Amino acid sequence: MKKIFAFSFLIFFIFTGISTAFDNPEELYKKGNSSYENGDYKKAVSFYEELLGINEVSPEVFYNLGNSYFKLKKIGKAILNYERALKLDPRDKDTQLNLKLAKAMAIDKINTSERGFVLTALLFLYDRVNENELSLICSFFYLAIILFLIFSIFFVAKKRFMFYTAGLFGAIFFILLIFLFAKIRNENFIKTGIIVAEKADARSGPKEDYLLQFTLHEGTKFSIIKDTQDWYEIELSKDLKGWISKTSADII
Amino acid sequence: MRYFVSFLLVLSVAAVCYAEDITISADADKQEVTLDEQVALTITVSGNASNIPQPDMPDLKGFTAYSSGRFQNISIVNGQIANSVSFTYILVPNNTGDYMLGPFNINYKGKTYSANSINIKVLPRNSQPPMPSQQQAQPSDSESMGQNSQPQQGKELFIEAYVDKLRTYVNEQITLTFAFYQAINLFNNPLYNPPSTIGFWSEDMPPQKKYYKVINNTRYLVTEIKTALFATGPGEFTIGSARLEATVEDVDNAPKNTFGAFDQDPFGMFRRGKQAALTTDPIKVEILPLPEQNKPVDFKGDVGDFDAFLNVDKNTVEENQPVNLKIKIKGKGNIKTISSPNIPEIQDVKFYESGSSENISKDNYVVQGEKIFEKMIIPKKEGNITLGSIEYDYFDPVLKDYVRKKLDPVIINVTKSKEEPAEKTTFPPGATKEEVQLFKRDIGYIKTSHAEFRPKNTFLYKNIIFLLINILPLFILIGLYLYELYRSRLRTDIGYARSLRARGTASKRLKGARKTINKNMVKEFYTEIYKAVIEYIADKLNIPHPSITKDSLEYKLKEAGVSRDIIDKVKILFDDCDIARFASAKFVKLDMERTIKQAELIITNLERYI
Repeated sequence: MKKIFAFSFLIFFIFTGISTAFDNPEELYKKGNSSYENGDYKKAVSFYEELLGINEVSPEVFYNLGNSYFKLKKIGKAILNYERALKLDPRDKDTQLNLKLAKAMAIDKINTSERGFVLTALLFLYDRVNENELSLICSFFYLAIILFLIFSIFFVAKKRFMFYTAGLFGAIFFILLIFLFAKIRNENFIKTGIIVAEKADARSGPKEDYLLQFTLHEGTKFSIIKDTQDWYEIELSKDLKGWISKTSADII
Repeated sequence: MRYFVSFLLVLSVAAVCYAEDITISADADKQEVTLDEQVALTITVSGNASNIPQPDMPDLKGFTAYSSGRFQNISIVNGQIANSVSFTYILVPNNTGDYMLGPFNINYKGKTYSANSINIKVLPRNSQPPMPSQQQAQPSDSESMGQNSQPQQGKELFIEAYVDKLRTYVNEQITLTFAFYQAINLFNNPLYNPPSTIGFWSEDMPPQKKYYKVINNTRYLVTEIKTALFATGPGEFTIGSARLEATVEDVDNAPKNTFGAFDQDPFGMFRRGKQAALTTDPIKVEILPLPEQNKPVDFKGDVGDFDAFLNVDKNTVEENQPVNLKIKIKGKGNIKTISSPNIPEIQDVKFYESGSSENISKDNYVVQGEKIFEKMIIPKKEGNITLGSIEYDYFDPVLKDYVRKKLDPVIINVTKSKEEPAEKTTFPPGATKEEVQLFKRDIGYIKTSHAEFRPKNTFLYKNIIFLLINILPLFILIGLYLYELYRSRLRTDIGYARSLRARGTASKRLKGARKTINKNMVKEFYTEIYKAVIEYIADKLNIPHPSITKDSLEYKLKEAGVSRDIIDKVKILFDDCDIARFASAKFVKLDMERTIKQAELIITNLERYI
């Protein structure tokens, strides 16, 4: 009993020791950066990954990690991390540019339905904010509407003006709310992933002995329909579905 | 129904009338022809179509066809367009025999129209009444076989084509000679179609040579046209047949003049011309590839006999000043295809191509001349530059081997520049702008600025405080709205306001009454009780209370749906009050306690109904 106690105590110490040694994310970030600067991309990757392992995220770290993977010619991982960085900071020009370059190096050409001009214009805001920003904008409009309605109760003379303004804000709020729900839905229900293995065989079922339907290469983006213990059922386009092993892909 | 069918019929007939209709017909000017003659074939396509295509020509076996043009005729009558196009072909027979030409098809808007075929009989020469004025060089004559052909005897007009050699190397000169022999006068200048020389680089060699030659006692005027041919690749090539069209005197059909003096018709006034078409046979030439043996690395395909020279315009030059360098290659061969010999790179010297010029002469019908390559060299450093070891390779077909000419080296003395070299940082005025050259794209550099860390999966929409901040104002709004609704009712609805206030005032009065119990002020107590209840009822029913009498009270309560026993209770209470107030009966504290309880009970009960 005493032994066990001592042993667990030791383990506890080792763990706390390690975690205290590297717990400072700022420190790890700087170490990763200097490794990258020295051209030691493998080391940089390990620092950044460790940093992300301690439940802290940052778009800069994802971006730098993506760069390190890119330098190591791991296009899939690079794209994955750029996408993660963009999710946190959707308006970052560097990330957008690097993602474009990395995507150009991916092998598979998937015919995604192109957005038209009108849709792109409509979704201008949607692509440029993350969930939290959108939540804040929604909240702002919502509170403004409430405020206008309260005013309309007390300032009877300006009631009409207040109502119309609230109505206008309400329309904007409605669209924003749809955006927000779409974002939340994408975040929680329709997950997207990236192939990170060099090659991934898509089979007709969640087992190795199912028929091989097609092979994907690293960097290809897909959406996940089903998620079992070891397999993802993925969808590339309307008529391209298959099961891939979880080891060959990662969720953004 | 019948009418309808006939109407449809009429309609369809009309449609047929208006449909684009095309007819095609073929016609030849004669059915029998000798080898010396030619046939004019006319294909006429007519119809009310606006765009008539060219007919497909079938394989005209035994004839060589020449398109001689197209004649179009459009007429518009009563709004109907009649369009007719005639395509005329001149057919020259190649062999004797019976030939069927056609059928001739035309494809128009998916439909095929065809014309009848034409039978033409080709007779050998002289099978018709002899035509001494028209002769043609016999096919399979010796002309195509050898160097010189013996012209046919007894003919007054013939042509021949021959080459000086039948086996040559690639890019070696072959001289093709076309000779036209005439012993009679021509009506006009003959029309010469040169042979097709596909696979050769051809060089005309003017001038035409004219001389007289006597063959078998006939004096011919010979016209020679020479062409130099250079094969562009090895293999077997065919020089096509040359063709000559001439109009000659038609002796047979000349009108016979009864006057002997005019029989000769020295002025040719009454002579009639006759078309004669002469062709030569194609010539096969074998082109040998250049031998692989001893082939120099720098060999660029020049064949002939050349000499090369190198010279510069000055031997002494300041640094950064240009020197003109000329490489001259002179000799016999295809001058135009000569390419510049390689000049080895020299350190600190820049070379710029500045063009080439050629000077070709064709003396003795051999293509020869010189080609000069000009280069500009700019030495960047002082010292001596030796422009040597420039070599020029060519293949000599006579020696059947490659020859290498070494150019005499030239030494240029470069002196130090007197001028200070232009400073590198100064820009020349009006420097041309250039597009940014993208060599290779790389990803952007990592971010080294401060990183902003946040815990994973922190979504604002899952944050309780954020949600509360958003939900609370909604409740505030609802509260405020309801409050405002209440206030506005109080302002506008007196009955409602009174009924709302009724309980409150009643309770107040009862409280006041309770205070008087202990002071034993019986009258005041009962007055208060009475007022409390009667005002309560009046407020609730929104009637002015001084106007209430006992009877009207009972009626009003009944109308409001108050139950009988409560009305009775109210009546008993009021009776008690009246007795106490006006009859000064003895009421003890206990009675008062009971009465106040009764009043409270009545009010509570009434609350349910009114």
